[in-house]
Amino acid sequence: MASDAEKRISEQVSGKTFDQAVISLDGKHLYPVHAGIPLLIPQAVIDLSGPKSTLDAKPVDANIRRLER
Amino acid sequence: MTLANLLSEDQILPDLKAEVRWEAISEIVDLLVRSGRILPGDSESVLEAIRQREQTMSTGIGLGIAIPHASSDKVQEVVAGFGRSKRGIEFDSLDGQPVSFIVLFVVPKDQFQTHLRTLAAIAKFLNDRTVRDELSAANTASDILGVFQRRSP
Repeated sequence: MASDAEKRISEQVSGKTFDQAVISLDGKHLYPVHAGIPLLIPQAVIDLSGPKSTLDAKPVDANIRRLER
Repeated sequence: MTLANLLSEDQILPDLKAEVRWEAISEIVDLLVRSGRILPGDSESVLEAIRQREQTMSTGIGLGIAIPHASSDKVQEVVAGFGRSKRGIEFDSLDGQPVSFIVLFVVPKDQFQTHLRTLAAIAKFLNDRTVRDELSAANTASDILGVFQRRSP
């Protein structure tokens, strides 16, 4: 069952396009990027080349889990 | 821009005195004021921006690492400071463990891409166990700067 944080991310990214994504610190998950204060500490930033990609939210990592607290 | 280019010896504290998160952040911001990277009259504004970010979620990401950061119209370029604690600092970290290494940085307002890439570069750098071991073993600010110069991307 999706957590509240995961649902929020899904709602934010659903059907939208993004120029960049970040790899989570554990290297397992990919998150889209939009302007604002970076809440996620990323391991790396990826420029999405070619046509802008539509990303789906991936399972939350530990950083995002902390949003629930 | 490399991480090493963000730092000089006078932006490095090899032995933080602070024992808790807010004291440690203040200690590093004070260092940046003394080194002339932040104007004395701007320090409270910068501190407040960092506090707001920390209150959203601690930047203590585990493995003894914390990366407090914020954007501010009080800086014209990326300003960074590094602090090491030999005793460890209570930081409300992800893994609940004390923090030994703090890289604090401030990015000019509206430079989101720079903000994100700086954050990623620092996280990737400190995720390397060899880097953390060398930072622990370093004796002086000069030695610590040497680790950044040798190891950072």
